[in-house]
Amino acid sequence: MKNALKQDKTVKPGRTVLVRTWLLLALCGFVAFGALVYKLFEIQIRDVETYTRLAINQQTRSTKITASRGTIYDAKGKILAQSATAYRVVVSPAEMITNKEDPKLIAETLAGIWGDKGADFPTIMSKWNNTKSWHEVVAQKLEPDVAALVRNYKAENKLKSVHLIEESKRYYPAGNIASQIIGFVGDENKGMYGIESYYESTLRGVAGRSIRATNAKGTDMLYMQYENYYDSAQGNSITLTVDATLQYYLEKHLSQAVIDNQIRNGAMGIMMDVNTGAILAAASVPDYDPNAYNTLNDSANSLLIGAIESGKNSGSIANLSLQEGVLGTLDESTKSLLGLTTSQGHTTWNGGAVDFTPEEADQLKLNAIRAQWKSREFADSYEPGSTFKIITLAAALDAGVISESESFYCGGSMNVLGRTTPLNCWKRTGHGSQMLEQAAQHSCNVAFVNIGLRVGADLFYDYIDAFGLKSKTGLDVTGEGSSIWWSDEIFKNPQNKSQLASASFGQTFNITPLQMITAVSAVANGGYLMKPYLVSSVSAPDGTQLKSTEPTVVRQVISEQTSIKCRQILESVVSGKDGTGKNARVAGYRIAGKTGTAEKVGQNSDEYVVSFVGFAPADNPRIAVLVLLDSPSRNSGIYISGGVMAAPAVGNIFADALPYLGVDPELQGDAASRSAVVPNVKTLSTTDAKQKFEDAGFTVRVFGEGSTAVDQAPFSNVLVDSGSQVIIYTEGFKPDQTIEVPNVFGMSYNSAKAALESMGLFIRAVGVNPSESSKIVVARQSFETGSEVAFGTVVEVTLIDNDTSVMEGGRN
Amino acid sequence: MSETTALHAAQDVSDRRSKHIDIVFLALTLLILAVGLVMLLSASYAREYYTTGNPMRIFNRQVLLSAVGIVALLILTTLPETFYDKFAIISVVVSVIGLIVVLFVGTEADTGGVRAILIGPISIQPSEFAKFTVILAFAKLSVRNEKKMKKLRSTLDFKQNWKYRLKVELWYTVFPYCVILAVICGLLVLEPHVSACIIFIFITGAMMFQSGTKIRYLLILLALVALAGIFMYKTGVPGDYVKQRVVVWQDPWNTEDPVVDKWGYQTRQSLIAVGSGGLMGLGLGQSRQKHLYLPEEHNDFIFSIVCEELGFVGALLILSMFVLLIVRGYWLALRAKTKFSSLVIAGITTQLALQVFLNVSVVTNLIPCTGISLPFFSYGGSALLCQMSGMGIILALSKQPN
Repeated sequence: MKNALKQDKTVKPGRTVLVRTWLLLALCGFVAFGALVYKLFEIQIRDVETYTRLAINQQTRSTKITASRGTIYDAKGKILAQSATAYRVVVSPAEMITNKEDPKLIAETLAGIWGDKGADFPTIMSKWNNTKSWHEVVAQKLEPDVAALVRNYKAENKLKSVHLIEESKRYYPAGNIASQIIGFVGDENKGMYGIESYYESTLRGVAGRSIRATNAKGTDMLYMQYENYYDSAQGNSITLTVDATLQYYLEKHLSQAVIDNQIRNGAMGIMMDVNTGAILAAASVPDYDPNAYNTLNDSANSLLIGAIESGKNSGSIANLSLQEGVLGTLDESTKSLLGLTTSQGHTTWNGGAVDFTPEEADQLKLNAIRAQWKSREFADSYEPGSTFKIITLAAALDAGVISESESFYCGGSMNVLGRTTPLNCWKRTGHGSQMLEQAAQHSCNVAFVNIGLRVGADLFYDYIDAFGLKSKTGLDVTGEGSSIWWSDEIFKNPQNKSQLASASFGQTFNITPLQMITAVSAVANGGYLMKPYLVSSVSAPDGTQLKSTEPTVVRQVISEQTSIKCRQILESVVSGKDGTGKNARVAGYRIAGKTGTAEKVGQNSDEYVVSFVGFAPADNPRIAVLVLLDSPSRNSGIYISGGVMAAPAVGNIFADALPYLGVDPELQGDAASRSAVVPNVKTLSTTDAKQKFEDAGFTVRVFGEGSTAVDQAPFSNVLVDSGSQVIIYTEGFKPDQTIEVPNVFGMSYNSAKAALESMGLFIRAVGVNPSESSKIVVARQSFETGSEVAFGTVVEVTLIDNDTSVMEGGRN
Repeated sequence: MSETTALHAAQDVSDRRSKHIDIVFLALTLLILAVGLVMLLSASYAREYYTTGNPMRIFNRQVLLSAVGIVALLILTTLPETFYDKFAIISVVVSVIGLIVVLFVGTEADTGGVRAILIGPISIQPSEFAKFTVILAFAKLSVRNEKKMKKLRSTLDFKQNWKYRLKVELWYTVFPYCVILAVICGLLVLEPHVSACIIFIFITGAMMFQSGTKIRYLLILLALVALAGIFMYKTGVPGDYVKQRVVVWQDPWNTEDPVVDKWGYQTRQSLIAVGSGGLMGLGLGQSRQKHLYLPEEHNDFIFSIVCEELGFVGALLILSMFVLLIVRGYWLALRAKTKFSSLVIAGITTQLALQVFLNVSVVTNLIPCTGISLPFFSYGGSALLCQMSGMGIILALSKQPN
């Protein structure tokens, strides 16, 4: 049977087969795929963010686009800090290998193009060794012109392994001016010190990014042009309250004072708008150039470091003695590392410790560099000494415990409850009986201790608090210093008044120069303690003003009446014949102020901080100036005293600043008789010209035989001292020689005048009236000795009273 | 009704049956093939663009092979069951010869191992052909042995002597499979092509299971396979790769471990591709991982690109198409008139399901990395031709009357 046979051959799938097929269907068709779906869910839904981030990280190359930093302007709109485009050069060893480029040739050429502005040849060669790297920085902040050379070289040779990346570079057009206030921008475009640091977030802007998709080889994904560009947002601009011109005046006179008085530990100064609390200028000497912030640009400091480096082998740093004036700029740790000790005003070298390791030498250099970055006038604290009598005076007058008509007796010393030894006045022989005004002029310690004791410890501390001397002022700087005071318990101990007594004349506590000038401004401006500030406004890159600082009155500390009384008394300290502040006088201006000479506590017994704080005009104060000179050297021959050293500097600053601020001089009385305006006599007949000069109070010398005055010396409208000999040139006679300025430093006024006039120069004296004292000397001349000036030039000399019997000063 | 008439009627039925193939299965096959080609174009485009400059090169070749595959499928569809029955043993013998020949004249694949015979421009991978020829052979063996078993099962000896019964059952339902499997796996290990062994082991197991081998024997075999795996893992025989792959599988992101760092790159790149696709994917053609990040993106890891470009939704759709095809395959197996057909259809379907499952599991790090291509998607002539042939055989054996 055919059919049966066929049937026999065909085996039907049995029940087991069917059931098991069903099982396979369930397993392979559903269970397995269920597992896959779950796994896909885990990866694609649950962990999508993780994987997306990983994907983006590897598939994209993101290039940071540095935001252009905001500009910093001075009060008048002058640019102090500005960012400009610069370039970074990056080499890619990986691309160098894939494209078979010559590493040696590239390194040689690049190093040749940029010289010392980028990595040198061996450094570039070493970068090539990172064969897997795509990004090795070999030069940063290249100027556009240098970058152009690199770009041309890259283009000409079609180099794939050299890349130029745009970045931003900070320029400080004013150089050293206000360097510590501005700060600088360090690596990674981050602001360091000063405004650059404090206003980092305002100035920085928002960095942009350029993101492009790349394949695994790091080049652009072909045909998929994916590029995302996030614009960088330029930083906001800042306008300072600081006026570069005033800042220049302050720095100029501070530096001069450092040189004149052989100041060993630097100088500080602040100029404040007394009515607003705005900082108009502030500086520490030595300063630095933020364009090259890592260099010791102070030549003396460089010499010092050079001496350290050369002296460490020879075992001799004899050169250092020549640089003594700058030793003071080193901090204590540096000094001890150097093996230097300062005593009796002389820095000596302890021969044992000059064997520097290179690390130590580097550390020394670094310390010295860092020291010049700091705004010490805001950060450091000092003992204000007699300048603080302003506060004692104001507190006592305001509390009504003393009156202007009272007299105070000084016998040279006094006993104070709690002191084992009598408290001495700086003038051991005593000031005798003196009115309040005279006590201030004399800076009499005994009088002020009595005034302080009358105020009492509780009230005294309340005033200290009210003047903001116990708390930070809140100035917009990083690292504002704090004051150090006795605890209430000690200070207010009724059994021991020695702390109160010392505090009354500014000793045994520390405040910052900033606190001092802020408090003095309050005394001057009618009693209002202002919150000091450095930034007057913040503007968007397009110029719209975003924020402006309004002057903030913290509180009224003393009454208007007290303020007026204080102004009068403090003006007399400068204007009075016996005033310790007389060296701060400026012809034509009413200056008020107070001197200070404080022994540095806790350090060497022969180190002093001399200072002067003043404000002007005394009747309607506009600006206050504080100058502080740290550790003058006895070698200068100048009496160590705030009145002799710091007051002239403040006077000079006022002399420059007040006319600049539009305060007109009022030449009257003493000042009017001392100087006169030179009239214009050109084109007049010789006789008329002579007459005109004589009418103006000058003596006349005529050069030549002509009948017409063709020229004159000095020029018309300049101010020279009355009684000076002026010159008329007639036709045919016009000297064109230049004159070497003689040295009149330390001369009396009359000798200086004679010396200058004999050379054909003119004198204009500022400072103390020459007729006032027999010990008036020239402390400064406006042209350096030996400099060449035109015949008939007016040389300005600063006169000071060097009378130690009048000037409070350090013990000799 | 005479016998002749009856015979004629039967022939009529059989003739009518031969005219109708399963349209649903064919349509699903062609749909998956089409989608696979599109994805292959997208996946291979970038690398071809970077390396050869002709982004269409791989796609064009695969299109040509697909055409050949369709022709093969159609031809195989027309062949009767008897043809497959007759050639089952011969074909597996040819495959084994092929596997021997490849050891001597084969060319090395870029993934290591001597796997293909080059004949002019055509490269043939005998292991791919072996995959469906063993299925035919197993089905054939299974049917023949079942007939023999049927006779023996009725004997008294079989019923009473458990030793005899064990001997018979092992002889007919275990050993033949194991011998063929051992021969093939032995040859594959010599290539070496260990990942293919896994497929063969699973196919063999599945076919034994379906054809009725007792579960207890299967469990024992499973235990032996597991022991072998542990042995390979512990001793590093025949290579350290077993251990390497397991370590990578445990935590592919532990790049602190130099072994993971070195051998886990592919897995990490695959996971990044899959994961960054998210729910909806980056869009067709928008893969970023194919830009030289992901190795084997046109081959074993094509599904990573699918996930990246089409997202979870797209991946699910494509897996669903496979599931439909697989379920339809088993459905056809269940409807098959003969055990031979049923076993062959189910075997080929299981092989397809296994490949899809293992491939996607590797791509998603569900299992340790092993080289298994994705049917109809991965680039490769022999594999595609064999899969199309397999589909052709299913269609041929499943012809149903109206």
